Amino acid sequence: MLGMMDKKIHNPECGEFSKCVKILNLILDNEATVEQETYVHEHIESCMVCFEQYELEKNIRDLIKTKLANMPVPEGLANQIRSKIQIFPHH
Amino acid sequence: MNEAIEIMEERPVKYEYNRREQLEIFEREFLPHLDAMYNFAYRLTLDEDDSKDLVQDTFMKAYRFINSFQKGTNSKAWLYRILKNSFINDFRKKSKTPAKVDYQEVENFYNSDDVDEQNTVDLRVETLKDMIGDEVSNALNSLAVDFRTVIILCDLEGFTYEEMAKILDIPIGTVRSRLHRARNLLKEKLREYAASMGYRE
Repeated sequence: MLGMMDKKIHNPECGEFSKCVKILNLILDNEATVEQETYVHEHIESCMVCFEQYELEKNIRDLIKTKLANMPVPEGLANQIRSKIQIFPHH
Repeated sequence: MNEAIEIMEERPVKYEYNRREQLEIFEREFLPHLDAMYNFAYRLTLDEDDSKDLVQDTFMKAYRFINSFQKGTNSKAWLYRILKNSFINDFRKKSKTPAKVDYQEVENFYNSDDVDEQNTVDLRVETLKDMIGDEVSNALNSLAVDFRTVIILCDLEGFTYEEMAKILDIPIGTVRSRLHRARNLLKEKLREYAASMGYRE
């Protein structure tokens, strides 16, 4: 674990780690430009730290999407709202 | 109160819907988001009764201001914005546990370039794979509400940065930096959970 941390903090394998992390987050959020996507996709083929970071960020997003339980809407809530609307005057 | 309901449009427009049209918009464009809204409310308040109240308030306000909504546009973002404003104006004030951090202060600090140093949380993909829902939930819920919110809007609801900027009334640059900070805080929390649960690499 410590070895991993050292490697990441010093990032001997990537001279542009901060820039790469920013761009790969944009890619995962579908906010990157075509140029940015091309850059990072080519880059992570040869840069292990950035590839690992990409996988980590992607997995955290998947975790949020798949593991958070959906709360069931309380029964009757839709109808309670509907009946309040029904008595609301036209405006 | 009115500032809670500023409409999404830059140019305020009034539409004149008749009663039937209003009810139809409400039924077809607003109510289908009930499930998502309730869950968003729950993730903000972390309380079932509060979520129910917040959602009811939101739908009532949405109906009251329905003439500011353009039929067929992004109703989900419009409703989320109302819900988030109601949360800030009505709930946060009376909340027993006020926000621990002044996020604006935090934000100003982290908008500086120092933020780059925060990319290095030691967390491994293998560790994440073993995590269960409760741990993910707890990690997310432990973040200050402003950080939690951007992660929910982006990762769970899939809003674009531009939509998030409108929902939250902040510039896109702030959306980006707040998300960046939020993701690092979340990673840090997940790492702490992993360590306390004794996950091994």
